[in-house]
Amino acid sequence: MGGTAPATAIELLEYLHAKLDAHFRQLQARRAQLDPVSPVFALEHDLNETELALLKSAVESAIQQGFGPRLRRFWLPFVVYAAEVGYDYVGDEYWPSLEAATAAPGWATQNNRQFIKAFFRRFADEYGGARPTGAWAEHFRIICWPITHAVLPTYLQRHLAQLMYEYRTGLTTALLNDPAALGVRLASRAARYTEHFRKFCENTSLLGQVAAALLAGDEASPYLTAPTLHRIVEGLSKESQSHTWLRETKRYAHQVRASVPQSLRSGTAIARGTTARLPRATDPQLLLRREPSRWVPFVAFPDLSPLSLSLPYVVEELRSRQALIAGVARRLVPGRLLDPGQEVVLTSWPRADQPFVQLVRGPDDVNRVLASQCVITPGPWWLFWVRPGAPAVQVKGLVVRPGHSYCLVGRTDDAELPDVAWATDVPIAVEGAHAFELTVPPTVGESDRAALAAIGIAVATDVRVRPVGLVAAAWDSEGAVEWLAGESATIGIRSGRTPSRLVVTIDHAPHLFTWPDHGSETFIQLDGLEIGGHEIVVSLLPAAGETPIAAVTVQAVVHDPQIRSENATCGEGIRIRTSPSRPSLNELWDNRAELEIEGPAEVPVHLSLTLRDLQRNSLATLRRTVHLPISTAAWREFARRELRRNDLGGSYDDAESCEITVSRSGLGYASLHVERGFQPLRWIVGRRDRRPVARLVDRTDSGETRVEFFAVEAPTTAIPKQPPEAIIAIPSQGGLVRAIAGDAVATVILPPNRNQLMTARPVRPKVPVGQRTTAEVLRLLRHHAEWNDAALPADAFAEHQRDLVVETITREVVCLVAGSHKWSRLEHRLDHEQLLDHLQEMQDLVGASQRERAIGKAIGANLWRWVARPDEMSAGLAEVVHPVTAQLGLANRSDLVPFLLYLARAPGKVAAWPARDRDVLIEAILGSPVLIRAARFAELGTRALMTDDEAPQASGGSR
Amino acid sequence: MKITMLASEEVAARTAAALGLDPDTTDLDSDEGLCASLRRAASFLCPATPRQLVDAVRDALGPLARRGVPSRDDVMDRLDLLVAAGDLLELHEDTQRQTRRLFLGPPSYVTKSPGRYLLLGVRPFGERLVVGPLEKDIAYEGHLRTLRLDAADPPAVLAAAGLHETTPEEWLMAPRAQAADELLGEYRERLAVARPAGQVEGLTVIDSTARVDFYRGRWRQPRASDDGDFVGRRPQAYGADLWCFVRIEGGQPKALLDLPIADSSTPGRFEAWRIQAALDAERGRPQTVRVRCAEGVETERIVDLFGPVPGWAERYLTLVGLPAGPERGALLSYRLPREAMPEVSSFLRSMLWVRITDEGGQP
Repeated sequence: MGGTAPATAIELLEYLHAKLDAHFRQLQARRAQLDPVSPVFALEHDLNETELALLKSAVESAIQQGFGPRLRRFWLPFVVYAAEVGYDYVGDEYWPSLEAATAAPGWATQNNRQFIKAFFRRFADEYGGARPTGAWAEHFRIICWPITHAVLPTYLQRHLAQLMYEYRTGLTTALLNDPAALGVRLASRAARYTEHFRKFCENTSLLGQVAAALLAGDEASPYLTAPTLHRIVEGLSKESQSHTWLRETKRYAHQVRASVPQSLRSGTAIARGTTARLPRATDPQLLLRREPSRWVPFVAFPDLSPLSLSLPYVVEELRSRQALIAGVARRLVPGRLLDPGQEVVLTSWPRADQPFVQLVRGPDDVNRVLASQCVITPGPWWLFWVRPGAPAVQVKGLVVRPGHSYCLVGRTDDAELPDVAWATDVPIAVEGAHAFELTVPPTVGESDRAALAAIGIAVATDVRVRPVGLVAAAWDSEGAVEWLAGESATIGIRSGRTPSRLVVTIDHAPHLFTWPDHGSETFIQLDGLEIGGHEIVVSLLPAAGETPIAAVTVQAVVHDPQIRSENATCGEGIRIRTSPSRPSLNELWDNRAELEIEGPAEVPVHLSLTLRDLQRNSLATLRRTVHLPISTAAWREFARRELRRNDLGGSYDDAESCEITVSRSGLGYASLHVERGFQPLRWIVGRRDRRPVARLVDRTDSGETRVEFFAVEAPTTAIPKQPPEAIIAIPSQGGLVRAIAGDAVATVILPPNRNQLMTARPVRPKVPVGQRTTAEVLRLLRHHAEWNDAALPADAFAEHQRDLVVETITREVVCLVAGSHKWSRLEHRLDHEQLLDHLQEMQDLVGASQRERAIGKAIGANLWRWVARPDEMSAGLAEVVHPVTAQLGLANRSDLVPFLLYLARAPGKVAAWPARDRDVLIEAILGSPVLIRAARFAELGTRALMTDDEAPQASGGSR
Repeated sequence: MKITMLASEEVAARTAAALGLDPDTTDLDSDEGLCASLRRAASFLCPATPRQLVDAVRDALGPLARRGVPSRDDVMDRLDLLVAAGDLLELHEDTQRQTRRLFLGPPSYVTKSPGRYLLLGVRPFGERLVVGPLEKDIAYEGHLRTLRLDAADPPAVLAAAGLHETTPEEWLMAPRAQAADELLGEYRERLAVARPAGQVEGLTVIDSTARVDFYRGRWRQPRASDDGDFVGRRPQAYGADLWCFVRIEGGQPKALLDLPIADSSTPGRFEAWRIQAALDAERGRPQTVRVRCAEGVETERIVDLFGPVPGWAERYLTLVGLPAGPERGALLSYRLPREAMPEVSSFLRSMLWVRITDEGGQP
């Protein structure tokens, strides 16, 4: 048969390259006209179905033909192809997906990967293509290109629809017209989403552009071509919930565009420069609770996630660090402040010179943000409105109303009873403050007004301004109101006298109205108040010749749309709380995350736990009926008992996420979704050819991944695997394997062969120890951390081997620092003898001098108390060792004793402390080794006296 | 930003619309309006005391109410109905203190009949229970919300709207049927070993000798002549009132059982009201339920209750019928299909030992 032969791969590539070149150049020109210039995405190729099929076949055959220089000349089809693979990417390994698509196993060599990266760079240079940004792009330097150019991979589309829906009432026309700002806003609300999606949101400009395009209304979006947008919308519409979210958000965006003109937000902000601080949505609320004989002050925390607008990583820091609250002795566990509505009782009144909230060892900029945006009123007086059957709420405006009752709190230093007959002293359960009850009579005389004025308290006039209609998100009864973004806010203004005019001044912009002819009350509706704090001053103007009528000020906060977290808000019947907030799958499995389930006592609920793979397919499910509440200790026990069972644990290593759901019909539904996280490197422990192996999943592009093995017998000696192997055969005693690629590190404990472990002679880890120096201590600390923090497969024997190693390293750290042969000999004997039999010897070996003997004795006397109340051990030990720390000039260092206890219990924990503090403390302890001996005696002594129930179960000082 | 002066009628109409109600037919101080405002207040304030929610609603609606500021008792009655239905939950805050506060019921639905679903629960932060096209199909009747849904797969539609299915049995949470003396025997056994009551501040009791058809009139303080077992209540400085079963001798409380005992996820008053029904039955003066014809509708009957009934009994009546405006001295009324009456009568007799009468007071 005659005729023309089909085009070869190179001809097809040439044709497609030319077509794409023309298309992308045109697109670049259009985007260049936008202000700011908007990037082009490779997914915006706008090829029809046939052309795309042609492109795929051309690229695939080019790759199968060797991907030589002649083929690479026409590089645009490769860019489009790589972006298309990215569009279907589900968060697994990109290159294997590409190799599978092209039927070219082994093609994705480092060299070829670099070619793909170079193509994308050229695309960015020549066609204004998007450049990946954000922390994710720094880790994944090659695959970030095709993933970014896939715009919104299908598996992330549902999340975007949900995020936009949840933020819909915060949308304004200004935001809809400013993708960059929209992206920042949306990203600040993404903290509760999956890690994959949060990574996507780090590229706020891309996020904003996609969101703006999806909400573009009837007009074509300038940020994405119509076919690309259509494709994403179609993807979203495949699932009914996403479709509903998108439709509702678009409807809302349409209303916003059609309704209110925007205020000049930046202009008012500048005008405000000289005024007092306006309240913020992130300010905590002070309250008083009446108990039979006293008032108890407490603080309720709002949703702090809006802080991420000021500093994107503040939420991450809140998630993982303990918090110090002024006036609260105990620290809050990491993540607790991310559960809005947390109530914390104050034990001492906050001092004026202290920030109200700080994170322990938090970065300076994070603590600065907290200090400025999470603030209580400065005092010296705090006024609370008292009513029966409800907590007393703070009246920040310090205004009392005749006929009402109040509790007035002032610092002890400067709180003197106000000179009015109706003020009486009342007890308050807090140090550093006095409280007075004010029962304001129906009529307040001039002298009483003056007495109150002397301490900054005003008496309300006969003008009243208050929110009416829709119940406001919060109202303190006198002058502070909170509304939700997107809702109309209405205030009612009542006056005892009939004014002539009314002026409502919002953020210094006055609006004049004529008072209606009839009635003593009128109403003002405010639409489109922007998110943030506002000052509303209502002034009533009298008719000519009459005396002035007072003005009233209301401080308003308009909230970001608030989002229910899946683990439930404080107002729901069943709540799951975790520390850290949003733990990883590993942390949950290894019992390194604390979890508690709150709810009504003794009520049975259904608990289900499902392990899922990357595609969210269920791998295994555990179902139990449990009784509320579940404390952290009860959960730890539950996890220890249930998570490593074969039916569940057998699927753990293949799982990417886990979903815990706690529910009871009519009472509540709370769930927790934990993920392994987007790990550049990850080990999977399993079997291959019936032999136990560890397989490395390498998502990095470095090509320089190193693999090292550590045997249980020699846990601090690295054995490099040359060449780096992706599959490691597991030796009978197990061990630890570590992969390193640039900044990315993955370690996993390898489980031993359980039969051999039980029959063979037990292995004793050997840890060589060098000179007694800070550097040597640090070296051991890092080895401890390595073993202690390594991922643990679902295997009890792996846990056993890990514990064996970390206990050995802990002992060697203590022996090194303790600087005493006798102590070392004792430590080594304890390896195979009963702790309880050596308490007296330990006490005697704390030190030889009179002062040191006294320390040992005092610790011995306190052991039982510390067993019963472990939280008192740190303060107790600080008191006992005070003579030594005072001599060292370290008595004021509040971190010294916690540091010592970590060193004695789980030394790897201090490896990550700020280097300067850590090294100073190690030096000091090396100089006064009695300190470590004292801490170790306290640790081992209490451990010896504990019952099995009380003993810490996991290694690493989970106590 | 836009700033507008409005008349109170306009504010009321806009508020009603924002609450999802029809401003042309529903006033803010109607049952429907008050319940919608209570749900909204709860969405922001929970966990909260009843007083916090009631005050928040009165503050917001007071200046707009056409019939004057709704009384605290009126709003509290609506709040009790929301708790009885499951929109809100009254729960122990913690095991340390006796405090009970209100929490949000989970967003859920109960199938009333094919295509008709009772909607329950409140979402936090002012979020509507249902958004989108479904919202317009919600009917607000008293404290209840009913959704009519004509869809091929209603459970899928409702699940997509974020609503959990609750079976009628799960929703009712009715205890087992038993004789009044058997129930009282169980509580008295517990009372016999309960802690001494000591001084009970602010205790009030239901007078079992007072007429059973005027509930509010039955409450009083203990008298020196009181000897026996009573249902009582004592206020809390903070939180909902505490309900109890109390043994009184010579006017002094001797032993006291805090309620609830059977299920801490339900309000104490549900158990208290059943105990009171049993006490009334024991005295030979059971509580009365009146059944009458619905005006102009031959196929329906009105059931009038003169005292409060436990939440599970209200839910049962709600499932079978609909709440109706109470009339002729009744505390609560329900409109029910005539053919359901035998079953309803049997339920009320076996669970609450009531006497069922006609309009003339005859059994």
